[in-house]
Amino acid sequence: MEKLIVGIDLCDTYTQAAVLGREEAWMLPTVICRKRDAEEWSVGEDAYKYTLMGEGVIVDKLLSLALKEGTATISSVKYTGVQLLKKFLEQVLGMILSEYEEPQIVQLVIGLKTMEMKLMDELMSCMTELGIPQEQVHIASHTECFVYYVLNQRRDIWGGQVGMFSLSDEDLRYYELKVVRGPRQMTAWAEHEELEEGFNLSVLDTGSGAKMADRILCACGERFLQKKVFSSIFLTGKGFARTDWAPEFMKQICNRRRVFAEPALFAKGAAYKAESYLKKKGSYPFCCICEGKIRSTVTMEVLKRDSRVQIALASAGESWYEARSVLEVILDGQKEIPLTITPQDPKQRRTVTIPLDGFPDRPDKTTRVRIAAGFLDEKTMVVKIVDRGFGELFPRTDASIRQEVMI
Amino acid sequence: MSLLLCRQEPVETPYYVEALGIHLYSSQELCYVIYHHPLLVMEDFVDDRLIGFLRSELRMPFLAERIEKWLESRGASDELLFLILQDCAYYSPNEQALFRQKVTAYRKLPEEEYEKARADYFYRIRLYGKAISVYERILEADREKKLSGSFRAKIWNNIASCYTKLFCYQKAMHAYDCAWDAEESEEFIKRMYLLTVMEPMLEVKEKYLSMMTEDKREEWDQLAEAAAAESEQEEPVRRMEKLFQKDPIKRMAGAGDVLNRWKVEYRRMI
Repeated sequence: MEKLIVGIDLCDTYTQAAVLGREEAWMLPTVICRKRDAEEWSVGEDAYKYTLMGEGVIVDKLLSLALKEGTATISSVKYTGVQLLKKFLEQVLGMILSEYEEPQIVQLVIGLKTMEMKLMDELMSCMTELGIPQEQVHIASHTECFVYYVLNQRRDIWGGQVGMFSLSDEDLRYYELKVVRGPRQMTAWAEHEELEEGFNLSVLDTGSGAKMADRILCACGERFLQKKVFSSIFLTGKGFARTDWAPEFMKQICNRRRVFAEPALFAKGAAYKAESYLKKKGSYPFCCICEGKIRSTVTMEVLKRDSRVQIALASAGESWYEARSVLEVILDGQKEIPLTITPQDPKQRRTVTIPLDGFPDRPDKTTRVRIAAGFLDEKTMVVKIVDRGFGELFPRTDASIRQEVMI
Repeated sequence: MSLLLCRQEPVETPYYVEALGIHLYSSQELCYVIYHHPLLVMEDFVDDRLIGFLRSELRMPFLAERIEKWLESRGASDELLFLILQDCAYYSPNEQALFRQKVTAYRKLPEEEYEKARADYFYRIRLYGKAISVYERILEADREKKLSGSFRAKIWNNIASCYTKLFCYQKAMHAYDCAWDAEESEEFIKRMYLLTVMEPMLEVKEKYLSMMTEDKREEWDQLAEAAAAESEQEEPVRRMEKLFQKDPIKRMAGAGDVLNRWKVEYRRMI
């Protein structure tokens, strides 16, 4: 049985998939087609083929469709966006698995351009329905996939700053990564910027269009790369599948820097991230702070066997989508729950207090509360506090508090 | 002020404390019972059933083993209670020291005082039957009449109070009679009279009737009326009134529930 570690870069126009240890990646348009007269589905270029032949009906922009709860009617059957997205992913996974004998997906990471909670929830449930257990599926932002891809290269490639341009039909983006060495672990800081100068890739089909695109990229390169020392520059996206249309830009970025072009960088980065879940905890010496990750640590002071200790509800570097914690404490004279929020710069540490309004008055040490924390997005933590009473001695009530904490 | 972090204790079969009529679901609740009910736990509380609960439900095998070994080698001891409090760390060292002092103070009491304190405690937690048996044991042990009349009168008075709570007015009357024999006090006469207010069929011995003068009766009647008026404002009475304002179906169902609860409570009391 072959155990596969898979990374999928899921975008509205193109989807790429990579299996760890395999050089070639799959790249296909994010479209799905159903035959008019049969419940037969095809994706990518095949979908276009059947549509051109008049045998099927095609649906594109599947992520947007799922996100806006849209529907598509094919041969009098109404499909929701989520149903079509699930069918698309089923076909993509089928395409990957068909290349192996007795394959089994042991970890899968889906890379997304934007981390929309609704979309992530739908993707997780799609994967569960497709038979991949929830604990084996994770979602990462493009920025995080970039970080994982780069940090899995030789150390000299990411010793200094690393820049990356991503060019696709959807947009032009610039990413930057810097690794800071700390006393306990290294912190990888990464961020991205969506550039207004993005253009449709069809302009590259004409000589004048390509020249203009080259000039646009040169201007961007000048803006981002000047006065900074870079260990390496990466190029990714369908736009950089070829680079001969941008001679001036290539000359500019290759000046005293190493430049790598990897069209399937996000998919491969997702596969590296998937691999990290199979490694022992702590074997990955990086704390990654980027889009999709929590930037501050949220702690609570508790008494554990007569010693005061800080217990973390959420840690910087955790994926906000997956960050969840539950703990139970007993109130000893306390009428509120204080949370300490510590960003990367400890000088900006602050305390947020959640008053336990509406909780019953009981003697000290006879109110047990359950504190559950989760995230709505990168900056919004939701804390739910529920009265659990104290067994039959002081029965629980319906008292509970839900508070959003900006971190 | 602090927040105590709770251990993960997935208790499936709680520990039943019969005397209190409650189930315990955590080590913290166990410590609470030990701390607040020393007179209950100082005798025969730490046994095989508790050891089994510590080991299997609270997942504290080391504590269970230590207690087991202690019991094998040295027998029951208050130290085992201290050990449980220390190991669960629900109470601070200061609180544990206070508990130790309290237990030591009880142990230093003369035997009859200690037994009386236990019986009084059972009275407070409404275990009247158990309280009566302990009070009677104290009196039985007093073969050589070492106890003072005043002390015996207190014991008989408390026995009478227990019987009154159990609605055994005849026995209560007899106990007040014995209390008077141990130490003559007008208080016992008053209580005998009040018993007759609650149960008019009750007979009072001839010798006491002369002591219940007209003035006294009037004064005690006023007391009884005030107590009755006060009790009408009590929450359980108000709840009952509310219940009887409901439609007949709901009233009957509610009354059935109340009756069942009273039966359970009464069985526990005796």
